[in-house]
Amino acid sequence: MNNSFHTAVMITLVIIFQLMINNFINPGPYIFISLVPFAVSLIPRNTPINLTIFLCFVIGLTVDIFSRGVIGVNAAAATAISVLRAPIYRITINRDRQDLTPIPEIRQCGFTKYLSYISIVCLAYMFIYCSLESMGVRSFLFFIPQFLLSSAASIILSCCFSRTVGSRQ
Amino acid sequence: MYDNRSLIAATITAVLFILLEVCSALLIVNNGIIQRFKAVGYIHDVQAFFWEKEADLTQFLNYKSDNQALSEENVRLKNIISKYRYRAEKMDSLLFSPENGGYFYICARVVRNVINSQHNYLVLNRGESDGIRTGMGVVTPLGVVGIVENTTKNYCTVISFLNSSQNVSVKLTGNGMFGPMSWDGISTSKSILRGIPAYVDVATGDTLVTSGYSIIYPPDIPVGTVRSTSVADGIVQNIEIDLFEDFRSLHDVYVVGNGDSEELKQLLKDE
Repeated sequence: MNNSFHTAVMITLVIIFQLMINNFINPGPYIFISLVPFAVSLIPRNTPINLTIFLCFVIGLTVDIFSRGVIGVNAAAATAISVLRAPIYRITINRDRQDLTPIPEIRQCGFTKYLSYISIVCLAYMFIYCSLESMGVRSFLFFIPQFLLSSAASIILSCCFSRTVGSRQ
Repeated sequence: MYDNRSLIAATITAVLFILLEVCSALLIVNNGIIQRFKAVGYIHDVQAFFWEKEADLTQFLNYKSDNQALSEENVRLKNIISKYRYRAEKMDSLLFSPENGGYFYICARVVRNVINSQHNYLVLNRGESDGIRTGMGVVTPLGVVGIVENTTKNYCTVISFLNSSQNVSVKLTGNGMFGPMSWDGISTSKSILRGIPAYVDVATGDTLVTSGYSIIYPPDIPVGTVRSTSVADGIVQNIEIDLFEDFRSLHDVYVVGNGDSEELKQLLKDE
C-alpha cells in the first residue's frame, strides 16, 4: 500500500513537472520535452496490463487537458507505449536478471541498460506524438529534427529524474 | 480451460487498448484543426475507394444489358454503313459483283455451341421472326463463325466453321492472294489456307481477311494470321493460320445477310 501510494505521488509529481514544462518553458518548435514516457515507466511492472493501459491513458489525457496542445495526442501516444514497455523491458534490461524491483531504476539496472530502455520508450513515444501532431502536414525536414531533438531532450531529462527518484527510494 | 481464460483476457486487453486509442483519436480529431482536416481527407479517400469498387461492381452486374445495347447499336451502325457503301459502290461502278452487295446484320446470342466433334454446330436465339434465313453467314468482329443451316420461328442452327465441309474465301492482306480456308480438323484455333501458288512469298504473321468473293460473307473481316507455310504437291503451298476467333468463348454474334443473294444465285445458276 505504501509502495503504491509512493508511486502514485511520484507519478503525480512527474505530471505536474511536465505541465510546468509545457506551460512555462518554450524551447522552440523543434524541441518538445516530455516526461510522460518516464511517468509510464514508473507504473510497477506487476500492475495488471488492463490497469496499466488505462493509467497510461489517464496520464496522457491529464497532460493533454492541462496543456495548450491538441487534446488526445499525449493520451494516444501514452496508451501505445503502455503495451510496448513490457517487451522493451524484457529486451533491454531483464535479459538475465529476475531480481529487479518492479520499477526500473538507473541505479539498480545500470546506466547503459536503463538508457537503452528509456531511449526506446521515448523514441516510440515521440514518433507517435510527432506523427499525430503534424499529421503529415509538415515536411520531412521538420519532422526528423523535431523527433530526434525531442527524443534526446526527453531521454536526458528522464535519466536525470530516474537518478533522483532512485536516490530518494 | 487455462487457454480459454488467457484468450478472453487477451481479447479484453485488446478491446480496451483499441477503445482508448479510438477515444484518443476522436479527441484529436475534435480538437485539432489540421488533424480534423487530414482525418476527413483520409475518410474521404476510403469512401472514394469503396465508391469506386461499388461502381465497378454495378458496372459488372449491368454488363449483360450494356452488352446487349452495344450489340444493337453495332447492328444499327453496321446496317447504315452497309447501306451507304452499297449506294456509293452502285453509283461508282456499273459492274455488279458480290463485293459491293448490300449486306445487313442481325445481332444474336449463342445458346448452344458444340466444338468437340468433327461436325460442330451452334444454336442462336434468332429465327425466322427476326429475319433469319437459311444460308446467311454468321460473323463476329474477329472472324467468321459459320452458315445458318436451319431456322425455326425463334431459333436457328448454324454449321460452325469448325466443320470439315466448310470453306471460306480469304485473302492475304500483304499481297492480295486469295484462296479457300478450312478448319484443320484438330484445333479450335487453327485453320488451313490452300491453293496459294508456291512461288508467292507469304510472310509469317501476315493478316488474313475475308475476300468478299462469296455471297455469304462481307469483305475485309479479319480472320487470323499466318503461322507457318509448307509446299504441297510442289506447286501450291498450304498455309497454317492462327484464328482470331476463340470458338470456346463465343457469346454474341452477327447474322449477316446479303440483299442481292437471290439475284446472284440466279445469275450463277444461269452460267
